[in-house]
Amino acid sequence: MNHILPLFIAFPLGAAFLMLILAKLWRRIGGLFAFLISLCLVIFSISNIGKEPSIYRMGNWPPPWGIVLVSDGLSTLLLLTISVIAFLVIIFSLQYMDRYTAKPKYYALFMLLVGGMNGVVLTGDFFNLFVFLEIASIASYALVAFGCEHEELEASFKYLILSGVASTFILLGIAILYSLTGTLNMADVARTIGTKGVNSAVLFCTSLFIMGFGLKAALVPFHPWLPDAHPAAPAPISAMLSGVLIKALGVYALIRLIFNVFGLSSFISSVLMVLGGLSMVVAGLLAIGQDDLKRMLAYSSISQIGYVVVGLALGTPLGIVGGLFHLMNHATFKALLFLSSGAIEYSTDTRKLSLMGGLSQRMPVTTTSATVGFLSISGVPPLNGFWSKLIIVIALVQAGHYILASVAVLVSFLTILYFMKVQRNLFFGDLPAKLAKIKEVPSLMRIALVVLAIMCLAMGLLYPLLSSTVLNPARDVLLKGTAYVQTVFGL
Amino acid sequence: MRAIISLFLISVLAWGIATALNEIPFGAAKTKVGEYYIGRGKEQTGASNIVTSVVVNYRGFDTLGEVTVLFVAAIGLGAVLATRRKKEKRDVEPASLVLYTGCRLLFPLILLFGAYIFIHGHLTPGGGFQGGAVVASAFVLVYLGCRGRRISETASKTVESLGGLVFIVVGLVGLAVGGGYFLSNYLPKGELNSLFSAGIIPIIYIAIGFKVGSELAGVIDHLVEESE
Repeated sequence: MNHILPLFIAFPLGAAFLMLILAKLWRRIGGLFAFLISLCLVIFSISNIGKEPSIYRMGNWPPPWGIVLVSDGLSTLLLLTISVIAFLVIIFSLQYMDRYTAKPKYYALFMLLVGGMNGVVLTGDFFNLFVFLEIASIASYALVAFGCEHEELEASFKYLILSGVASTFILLGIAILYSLTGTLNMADVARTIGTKGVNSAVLFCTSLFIMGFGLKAALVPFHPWLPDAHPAAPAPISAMLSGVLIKALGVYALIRLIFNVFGLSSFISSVLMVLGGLSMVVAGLLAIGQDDLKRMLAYSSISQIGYVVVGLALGTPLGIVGGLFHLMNHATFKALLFLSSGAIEYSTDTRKLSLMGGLSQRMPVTTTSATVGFLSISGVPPLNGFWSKLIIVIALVQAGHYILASVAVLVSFLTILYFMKVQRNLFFGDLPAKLAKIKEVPSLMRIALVVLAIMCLAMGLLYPLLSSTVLNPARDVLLKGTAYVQTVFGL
Repeated sequence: MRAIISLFLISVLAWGIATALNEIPFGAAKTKVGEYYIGRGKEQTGASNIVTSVVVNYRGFDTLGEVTVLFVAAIGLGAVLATRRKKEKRDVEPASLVLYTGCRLLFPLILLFGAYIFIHGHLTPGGGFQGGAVVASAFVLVYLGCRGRRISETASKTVESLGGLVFIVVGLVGLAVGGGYFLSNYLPKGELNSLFSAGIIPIIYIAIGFKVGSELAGVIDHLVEESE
């Protein structure tokens, strides 16, 4: 029994409720509160590393009668990613959000976003998964629209509609599964499917989940909302959405259900690999033509999610490790890049690449950290992005998928290409006269950028440590497949 | 062309749903968990309303999530509409005397009825969400009948947050005294069918009633302001 587990959800939710009352007394309390709570979550998630898989019975009702939280290697990995990125993004927000009004609401929504993601990652119950999915999704619609300008509202509305369609698919799938099996507990559903065998209704549910969670993960062809929604949000929120939200709500939920509840069949595996491969190529090509920095980063997120899904769907031990490692790495460098884009926008008031240049003279810290991010996402050794892409390519070659392996390498070159272009447009060349007086961003924002850049380097160099403590336990959870049932009922 | 593609996709979906429905054993015995709740609900939770025992006790954690979903939606709406405020107030035509008097008479009665529903959530049909919705409908009536009257935003926001906070704190107390389980029912279950029974269930439902009532009233307030 692990008594920290409910706190991952109760702390952020409680903080959001309390924050709005206390903000009436002192307006700055939101930031302070969010900082402390996210620090607690980082400590909790680090203390959770290396623990044996455990379940937590909500209200002391045993499964399947009540709701259980399940902590195993995979949820530990996601919790760690979510809380570390959220903590750094909060530090960045403390100064960045000074330009916005309604800050207590921003921090409250931020906490609800984190609480919702933690719930999705921890729960072992289908309907509970849906409830927390909705908390995180609705918080993200509001945060995308936070600027309240025309562009933001339009992007948020598009996101709301498409994501609402995805939620409907997911709910329909859950309803059908419930009427088939008579239970909502994931492990119990897996057990029932295991004894009754897979029929056409279960296959239909699987396809509904692939559509629904695929849309939340923005896999091509379910991606069109992301290039609007992620750039429209304030930069720290873009970092959260691209960095962790699409992974917790989309990729995590999908692989948890496919591997641990339904069991990965070769057909599902090839469907996911096709979707992943398409995402890599299509979004990679679309990213090249973008002039808006954040929009380009958003397309590149879709492309990188493609790598993650291809690695995971491969289903071999090496492929899964590569996918999971790339998931963590992408969270780090994409958060870094979106925060850098926020820092650049903070100083120059523009996101258009064609209007910028020579920023390295005026913003040395941002330039250095963003460069680390660009090199990492392009897969330059010894940064973390190189290792995870290398592992995925090797795993593809080992499994005999030569075409997909060469596609993965080519898209990697494509990534280098468009980030070279960004690098040249942003940091080198002449400083336009309009930008002659810009300044480097304030200290807390610089700290967040530098820490993320160091993490990009450290995760690459310390891969052996990371793989033995975090990645391998998570890989084993997925490899064991529907043995998940024993984890939940055997304890 | 678009119509053909849409038609094709919809027919694939319809075919899938039809196949899935075909596999579901309709009219068979109740579901596994449903059977359990009906058989043991009263004895295990002390609530004579089985729906309530499932909503607040067996699956109370879901309810915490649902309450939060409503809360997120309310502050999200507040954040998006907040900048559109501060327009000069237009004069609204006052309601007729009949409507005005009727609203003033009905307002306390509806509030009382809403409170009755959420206080008796563990005994009779209904509960926090339903009672809260009834309470909010009293405020809709005020907006219709006594135009120009507004609820205090500070008060409604505070009640809303306090309602959520009570739910979480009641749950967290379970960590300390309820054998270490979040949202476990650690209070005495009392005598079945009496007002003071079912442990923490009525406390949570009253908190939800206040929260949902003030939340929906706040949402209506935002939307009324927006449309004026």
